[in-house]
Amino acid sequence: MADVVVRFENLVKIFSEGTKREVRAVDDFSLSVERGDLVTLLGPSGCGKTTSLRILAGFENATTGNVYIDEQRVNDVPPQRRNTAMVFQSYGLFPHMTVMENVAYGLKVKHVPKRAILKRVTDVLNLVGLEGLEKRSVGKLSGGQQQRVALCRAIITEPKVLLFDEPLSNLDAKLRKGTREQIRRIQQDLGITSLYVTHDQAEAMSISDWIAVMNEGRLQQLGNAEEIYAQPANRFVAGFIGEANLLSAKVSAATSDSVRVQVLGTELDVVQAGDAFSTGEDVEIVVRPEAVDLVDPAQGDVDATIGFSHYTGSIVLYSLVLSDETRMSVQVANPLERGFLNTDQRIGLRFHRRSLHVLPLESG
Amino acid sequence: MARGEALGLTLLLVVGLAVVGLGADTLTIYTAFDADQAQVYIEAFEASHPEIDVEWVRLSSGEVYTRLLAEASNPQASLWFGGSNTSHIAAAKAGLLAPYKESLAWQYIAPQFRDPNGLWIGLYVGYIGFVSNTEFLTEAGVDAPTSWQDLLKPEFTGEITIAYAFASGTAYTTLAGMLTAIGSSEPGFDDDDKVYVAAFNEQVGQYNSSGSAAATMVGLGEFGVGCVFSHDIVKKAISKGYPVVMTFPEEGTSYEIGGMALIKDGPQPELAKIFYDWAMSKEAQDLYKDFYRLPLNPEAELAEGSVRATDVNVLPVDLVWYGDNKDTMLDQWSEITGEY
Amino acid sequence: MKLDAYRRELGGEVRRLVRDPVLLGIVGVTFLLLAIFIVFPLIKVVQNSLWTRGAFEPRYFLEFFQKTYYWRPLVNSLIVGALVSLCGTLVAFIFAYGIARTDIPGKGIFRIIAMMPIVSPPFLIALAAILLLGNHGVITEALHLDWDIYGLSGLVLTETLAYFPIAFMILEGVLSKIDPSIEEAALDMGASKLRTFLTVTLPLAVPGIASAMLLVFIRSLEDFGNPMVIQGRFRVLTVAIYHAAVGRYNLPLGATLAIFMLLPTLMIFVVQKYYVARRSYVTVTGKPSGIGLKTTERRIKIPILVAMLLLTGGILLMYGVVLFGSFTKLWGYDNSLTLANYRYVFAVGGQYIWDTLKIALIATPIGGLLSIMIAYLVVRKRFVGRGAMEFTSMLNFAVPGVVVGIGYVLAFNTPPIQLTGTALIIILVFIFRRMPVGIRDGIAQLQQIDPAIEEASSSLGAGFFRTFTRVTLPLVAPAFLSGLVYIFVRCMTAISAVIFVVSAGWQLLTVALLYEVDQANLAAAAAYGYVIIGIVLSAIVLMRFVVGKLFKGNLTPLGGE
Repeated sequence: MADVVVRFENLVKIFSEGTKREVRAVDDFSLSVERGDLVTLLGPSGCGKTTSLRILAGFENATTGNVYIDEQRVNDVPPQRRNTAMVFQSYGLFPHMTVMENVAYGLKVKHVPKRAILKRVTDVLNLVGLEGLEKRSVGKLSGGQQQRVALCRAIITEPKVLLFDEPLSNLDAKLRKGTREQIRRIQQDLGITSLYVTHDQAEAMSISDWIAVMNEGRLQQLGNAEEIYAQPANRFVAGFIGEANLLSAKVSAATSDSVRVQVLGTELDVVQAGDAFSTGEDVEIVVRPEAVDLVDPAQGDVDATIGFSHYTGSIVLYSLVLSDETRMSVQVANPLERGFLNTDQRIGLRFHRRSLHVLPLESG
Repeated sequence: MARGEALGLTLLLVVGLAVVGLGADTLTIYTAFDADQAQVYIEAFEASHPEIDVEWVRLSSGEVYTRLLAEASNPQASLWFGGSNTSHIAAAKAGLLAPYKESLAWQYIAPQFRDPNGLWIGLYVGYIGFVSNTEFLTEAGVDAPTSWQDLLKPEFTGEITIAYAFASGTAYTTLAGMLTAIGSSEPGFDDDDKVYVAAFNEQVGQYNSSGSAAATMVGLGEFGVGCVFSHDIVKKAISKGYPVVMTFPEEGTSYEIGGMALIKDGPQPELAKIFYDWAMSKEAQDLYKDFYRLPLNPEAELAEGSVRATDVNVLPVDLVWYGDNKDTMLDQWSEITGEY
Repeated sequence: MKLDAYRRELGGEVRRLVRDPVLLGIVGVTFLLLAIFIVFPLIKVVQNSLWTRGAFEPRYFLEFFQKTYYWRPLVNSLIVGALVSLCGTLVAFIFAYGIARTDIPGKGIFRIIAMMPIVSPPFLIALAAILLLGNHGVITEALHLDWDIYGLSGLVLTETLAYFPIAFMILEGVLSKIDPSIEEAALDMGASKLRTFLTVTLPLAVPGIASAMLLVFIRSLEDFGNPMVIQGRFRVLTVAIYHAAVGRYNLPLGATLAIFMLLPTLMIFVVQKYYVARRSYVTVTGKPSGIGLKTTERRIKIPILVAMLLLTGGILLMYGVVLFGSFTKLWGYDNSLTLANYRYVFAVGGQYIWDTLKIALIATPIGGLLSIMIAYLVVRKRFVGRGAMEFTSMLNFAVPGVVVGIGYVLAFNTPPIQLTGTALIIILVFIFRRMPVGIRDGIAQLQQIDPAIEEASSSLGAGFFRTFTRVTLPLVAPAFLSGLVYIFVRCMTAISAVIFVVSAGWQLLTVALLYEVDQANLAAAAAYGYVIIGIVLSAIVLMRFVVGKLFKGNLTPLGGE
């Protein structure tokens, strides 16, 4: 039996219900989080991820549906009694207190004796590399330091669930990478069950055990990073995680371990379980930009013409025009070595069979 | 206990203590004397009775009456000291006073200066006079008024000041005088009285709440003519050196008895009686000299320049009737003047 | 479907409240206080106007429209109110425009002048008006004027000067927060400065102007002190209520008149809050940019500067003449200087000074804490009846002081709650009378704090009380303490409600002042006035000093606005 720490059950949240400005922020959302896992809610702004997190924390109330922590229903429990701790996007540090006072706050609430507090604060500050800064006023810290203080303040209380509300969005790019690794390392070392919210898919993919992709209040797909990237459940997930080209195709044959499709005048065998598809069905093929090799014309599966290119240093991204006048993007690594292609040049495409993914056609 | 809680508790304690306040040997009185006069009299009492602390509020006599009405179920004061006795009469009729026939003064006070049932007693007597600003008279080219009818002269339109009849004993006494002098001398509003009062109302530039304020205002020159008790005119205008002249109506003027009474069910009845007796003594009534009042204790001294009964014509005003019927009189007065 | 949603929401809120006993307790106590000390007196007023001596008999309601002298004061009050709101807003606009939109010198001084009437008893201006423009006034004599200050002209003059600061505060805020790029865009497209002003600036300021006018209207309607001094025969409703209740003890009449006073003020309040305030086009968050479009053209600057100087001169003259008067022997007749008046005030009024200070010093912190607590509940918490709490606590904005006064007399004169004669009733009047202002300021202060800070505190296990005292209060402390001074000032200068509840044991300075004016002891009244001003100024200076010392570091919330 799985050890489930957090469970959302058919969560619905409607704002301004019954008025003209009614908004369905969360729509029948269900999710279980197992002990020790870091699960990320990933999606664009307005998808319901932050709202769900805040409902778990107790800062918002569910319209319908239930929230369980350790299988206890917590819908009506006030936030201070839920045994969760949150790291906020704006950190939420107490500006009139020092680092020590901020971090010790949760322990003071529990009436932990002074000597024990001192030791635990020192330990946790060491953990994030902020030793020696106990007496500093938090207003005098850099953004990265403030973020780490917020982290310390949350984990020191040993909550059942640690909640992260886009904690890195206020940091610059370089800092973000280092800090997220630190967060993940600490989370794993301490084994704290965590729920993490972000719109940055690279961040989600690099630190999560599981990713729940959300859009318009609904769960789109739950899986680990590889599953989400390689086998997106629908068009939205495919497009949100990384770049995706969608090519129209028709199924000519489907077996339990491969699907043969007709696309752009040629036939491809895609390595994928084909039980869900039927012959003659219209489908879409997800082709990642890096899943194509560029070769001489007539040497590949299909031909195309180079449209325009974006060079960003380590890769060059070509926009190609296909035989049916549609466009797709193809990425080539290390062009300095491989050479650059010119606009209007004719080129051949060879698809990586195992990297393609077939999706049923969605309406709209 | 956290700092916050301790602070809150302390605050609560402070408030509680403040509310409890003082008790002890304190006598609470309402006085209709002007504050500066009351101060003198009361401090004199406290000087000769150091064990008693007096707390007093100054209200005009009309206001004392209404305060007693408001507090009837829980009187806050024990003694009513001063003020025109028409209010005392009304209060007696309303059952708000306590009798005190055992007072020494009861024996020497003439019967017209005390309530037959002992519910109030007279401290002093005063006569209503007219005070006029001499500079105004010169500019307006008119003589000081010497009759009630004179007050209706066009030169005085908007130039007269007097208190509201309901707020001040002075004004109510003046009204009683008008009603007696004009038309029939039967008490109450007859048709001539109504015409007169309506016309007089047009002459008034400003009504105020305090009876003697008119004297000061006329002295200052804010208004030309006022109707005030003679002792107030002397004290507040003449003795101060303002350019004023005092006159009396030839037909006769109204008078008041300044009264004192025990408040029924007051919190300190015994202390009140001590004050009561003191207030009627020569020692206390000698003080009236400084304020030009006429004491009713026959042994007390009189001030120089005080007006005596022989100097002035007095109207046969039925004070008792006017005291008994104060509420209806004031209603009718409100109807006519539009003030209430 | 909407009803279901509502019922579901309500059920959830009730359950949550029950689970959080501290919050439940505080909400409960707050509701109780509001019910007893704001709602109950109003109910008594209505009750007394409709039931006379136990029987349902709205006698005065029926008579009100028949008798001229009953409804005339209402009409008079409305006339005065309309004129005062026009004049007051105009004066305020001149000051506000001059300070916010031009580069004239001496803005700091002008701002102080514009706020002066707030720190003194408002009816001090009426006293000054009599000294200057009365029948025997300084200016009247000097210029041989034939003008009667008692009456409509006196009321309009004094109330305009007394209440324009309110309009000024609103207008200054509005004018300085208009996004300069909007006006710059207009100029960029070729509009002249005048055209820009008329077609862009002014329309954007209209909601603010409307708010200012409505609020000044209410203040004028409920003014008691000035009319008591200077109304002459032009009777207004507040004084009529006072005379009916205190002068004649005709409480049904007083209550009926109070209802007729309440109707217009409530209407105006509702219109202002729910209609005008919603239409604000100016962003209210953040501080005024200060980098607005400043008019430097002389033909606009000069007239405005001149107008401001004239008004300033007038105001200073008024305060000056009262100050001078406080040192004269016999005002108007013998102007030799003397300290006799001050000696009189400290002798006779010494006890009043102590009483007033004691009561004000108790009421101020309690009122302040209660206000910020309610502001916190209303802004941060969701619970059953939150809307009702907000509305009730704001109700006193619309209820005139005399109505509160007569309400308290009716409500607390008899059992079950009998408070007449105590200091407590005066303290209660002070606390609940001006609470709406405290709450509104509290809400503004709280909105400056990043909500994440308080949520973090909850997240870490702190309950309502700990979060409020350890996190919220320290962060709003500087503004909170400054707000306390304002409450103190209001306590020291209040008259219209408290005059109903003073008693033998407890007298107040403002009431003593009014009494001296009534007695025409103008010099003594002036002395009382300056004693009050002195106390108030000391308090302001003291608080500035304390706040400066305590908060040297000047806290700014992290991550917030």
